[in-house]
Parts: sequence; structure tokens; C-alpha cells
Amino acid sequence: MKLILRKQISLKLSVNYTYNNMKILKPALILTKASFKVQTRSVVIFLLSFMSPLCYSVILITQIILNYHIVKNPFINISLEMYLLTFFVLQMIVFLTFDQSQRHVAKEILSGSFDYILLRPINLFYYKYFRVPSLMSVVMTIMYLTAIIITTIMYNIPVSLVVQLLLFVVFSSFIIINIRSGMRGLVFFKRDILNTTRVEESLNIFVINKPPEIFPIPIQIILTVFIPYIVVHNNAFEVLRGHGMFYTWTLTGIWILLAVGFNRCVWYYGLKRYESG
Amino acid sequence: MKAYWFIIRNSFKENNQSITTLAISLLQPGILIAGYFMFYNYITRDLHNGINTEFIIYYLFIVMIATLDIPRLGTYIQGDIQTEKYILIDRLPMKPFNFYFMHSIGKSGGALMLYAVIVQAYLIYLQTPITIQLAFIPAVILAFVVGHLITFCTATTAFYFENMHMWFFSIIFEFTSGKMIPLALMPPALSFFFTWLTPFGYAAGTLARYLGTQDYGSLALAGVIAMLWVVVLYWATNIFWNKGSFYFQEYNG
Repeated sequence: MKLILRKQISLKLSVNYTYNNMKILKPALILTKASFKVQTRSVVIFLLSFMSPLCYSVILITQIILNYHIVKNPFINISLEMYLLTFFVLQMIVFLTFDQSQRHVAKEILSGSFDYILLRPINLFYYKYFRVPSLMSVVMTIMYLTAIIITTIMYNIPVSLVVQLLLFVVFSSFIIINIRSGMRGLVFFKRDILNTTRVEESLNIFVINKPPEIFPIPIQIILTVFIPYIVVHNNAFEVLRGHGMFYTWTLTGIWILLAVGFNRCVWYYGLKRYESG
Repeated sequence: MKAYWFIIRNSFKENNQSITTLAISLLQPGILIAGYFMFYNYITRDLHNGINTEFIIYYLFIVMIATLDIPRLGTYIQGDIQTEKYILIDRLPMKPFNFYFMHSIGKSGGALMLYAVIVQAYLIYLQTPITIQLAFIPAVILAFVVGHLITFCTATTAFYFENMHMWFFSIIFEFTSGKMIPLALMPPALSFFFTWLTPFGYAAGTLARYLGTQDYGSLALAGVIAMLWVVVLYWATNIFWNKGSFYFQEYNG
């Protein structure tokens, strides 16, 4: 029985990767639709899910305004409106990369129920990233995009700068999603790796919404070379200032390659290990 | 007493099984608070010269308080209520708050003890007055109790609302207690309100602020008010729990 199951998994894996796009789309859409339906079955619960992120945003905006109240110009070449714009961009990244699906998949791998997923006619890539799409994060992303547009119009911020910031959002989100997927995939090798999500959350709060110069040089090097937190978060401030653009975009490019490589390697060897385990 | 010790020991064993878990519980609050410290130390660089001891003491205090993981403790209590495990806790020969408090002490005990040693050593290195060194740990304990009492009171909302997110309370708590912005840097009216008039400040910022400024009079006054808040909130926890469980049983069978 176990052998048959293994063979079926290997077969399904190869089928999954050669599926044509139209065949993937239908079950994928059904899955997303069902997930959204579950989330909106109770309007009160759905609205309550917005309370925390909204409240958090209000408090963070208050914090930024208070910071500018304490010291008139705390950061070089960053006015209050520029800071707010960067804040909206960084929050957009947070909600775009809101991780529910990958944690879900990691838990399935741990419990052993991932076998059943591999047997279903669903693309593994889709399942990994969009299994539990959060409607709340979709709405919040749209809200922050609107806030970016309004800030741009209100304070006459050059459109080229906003385009660069949006490109930064896309690249950063791509890096974060890949690294996070790789990290979750490490459960194939070490079972208690999921505990590190707490450190990951703390590191996020540690770096987010802060210009890179506030960190001492050794920490800046660690957060750029070993873990790309400055590359995906704090460099938004550098894009805004127009400082060291070549350096910023080169680093982003290198980290895109590293993140994709890490993710693919972990899942390739992880799945092999899972099949033979 | 034996029962309390049993809960602490079991909770400690459960949550500090491996070096990895202990390292994570040590790293998490450290990283979190270091970010706030570096940020405010940078933006107020023109207001002070060299090392700002006041700020360092403030954040050393906050990092010890941060070992109490408010959202997780609240979610744990809420989970017990929603899964009706609270009935078992009601039958224990102790108040429900005492049970969760001991559980939390055991859970973050490893990290707390390590931080206590590191912080005390650092205070000696900074050559802070002996009064501050002696008052530090009792102040942390007081703030720890106030923090637990507030968390417990807010978590009992789970008796009334099924999907009340603890993150919502924890965000408000972090702001009002002076973790996100030091109370001394807030506008005077807001600072006065959070420092003296709400219990949130006594769970972190108020005591830390006066330990940092070495204002002994205000520190003593804040200590007395914090004790009064402990009495009031402890009384409130019993009322919230009893009324909540009565409501829950009436409407959920």
C-alpha cells in the first residue's frame, strides 16, 4: 500500500509539473473561491479580522507623526510625507506577502497529510502560495495602494519615483515569498524549524519602517549579506532618496537569484526526501 | 504552594525542553526591543551627548517585560475558554488568574532568569546607583504582575465574542504601555495620561521611565500606584471570569 502510494505521488508530481495552464486554472480558481467563501461566511468575523491590521496601521502612523513632533527632521532628506509614502509601500509588502498558505503547507508536511495533496490534480506551485488566500490581505493591499496614489497626488511626488517604489514592492515581495517558502520547506529536514517563525516576526518588527542608517554598520552588513532584511525593507528609503541606486538594485538582483535558488533547492531535495521517507 | 510550584515546574519543562527553544525565547524579545532602542537612540542623538544611560535603563526594563508574550498568553487563555477547558481550570483549588500566572512564569522563566542576570551585570557595569540596582527586579516583578492582570482581563472577552483577536489588544497595549514610543518622548498631555491615569503604563513604561531618570520620589509614588492597580485588577479578574463563565454557560449550554 505504502509503495503504491509512493509511486502515485511520484507520478502525480511529474504530472503536476507538466500540467498545462488551463488545466491548472480551474481547480485553482475553485480552491480560491471556496477559501474566500469560508472567510466571508460571517460578516462580523470578517470585519473583526480587519480590526488588528487597521488599528496597527493607525498606531504606526501616530508613531511616525509623533516622531516628527519630537524631532523636526530626524532623518536626512526624508520629510514627513516621504516617510509616510515609504510606510505605505512597506505595509503593502507586508500584506502582499502575508503568509497563511505556506504555514498551512508546512503543517501538512509535519502531520503527513501532504501525501493527499500531491495526489490531487492541483499544481504544487499554486498550492504552496495560494492555498489559503487571505481576503483581508487583498483588501489591505488595495487600501495601501490607494493611500500611495493619494499621497503622490497630494504632495506632488514625481511619478517616476512612485514607479520605482512599486518596482521595489514587486521585487521585495518576490524575494520574501521565495525565502519564506524555502524556510517552510526546511520542515522536510528539521521538524522544529517552524519555531523560528517567532524570531522571524521579531526581526520583521526590528527592521521595518526604519531607515538603514539607524543600525550600526556590523548589523547593516549582517542584514544585507546574510539575511536580506535591509534589501527588502529599508532600501525603500534609499530608493526614495535616490542614493546609491546602482548598489540598491544590484543587491536586489543578487538576492532574487539567491532566494529563487534557495527555494527551489529546498523543495527539490525536500520532496525527494519526503517521497523516500 | 505545592500546587503552584508544580504548575511552574511543568510549564518550565514543557517550554524549555531544548536549547533551541530557550535561545528563541531569549532572542525574540531582545531583537524586538533592540530595534526600538536603536531607532529612538538615533532620532534623539542631538538631544543627548554620548551614551544615553536613561534610555539604556528604560529599554533594559522593557526587554525583561517583553519576555511576557502578551498575544500568545491571551490566545492561550482564549483557546481554553473556546474549547471549554476553562471548566477544568475552574475546578482547580486556586483562582484561574493564579493558574495562568504561574503557567506564564514557568513558560518564560528560562528567558526571564537569564535576562535578570545579564541586566543586573550590565547595570553594575554602567555604574548605576545601588538603589536603582536594588529597585530594578522588584519593579520588573510589579510590572509583570500588572501586565498579566491586564492580559487576563482582556482575554476574558472570549466568553462573549468568539473571534476576538488578541493581537488587537496587544497592539494597543504596546503603544499605551510605552514599549513602542518611550513615555518621556510623547507629547506632555499624552505622556501624563498613559503614565499616571491608566494601568497600561505601570505594566512597562512608567516604572522604567523613573528608574532611567533616577527620580526616586516619582519611582516610589509609581510603585505605590502600581500596587493599588494590582489590587483593583486582581479584584476585576475574578468578576470578569465569573460573570463571563456564567454568560458562556447560559448561552452556549
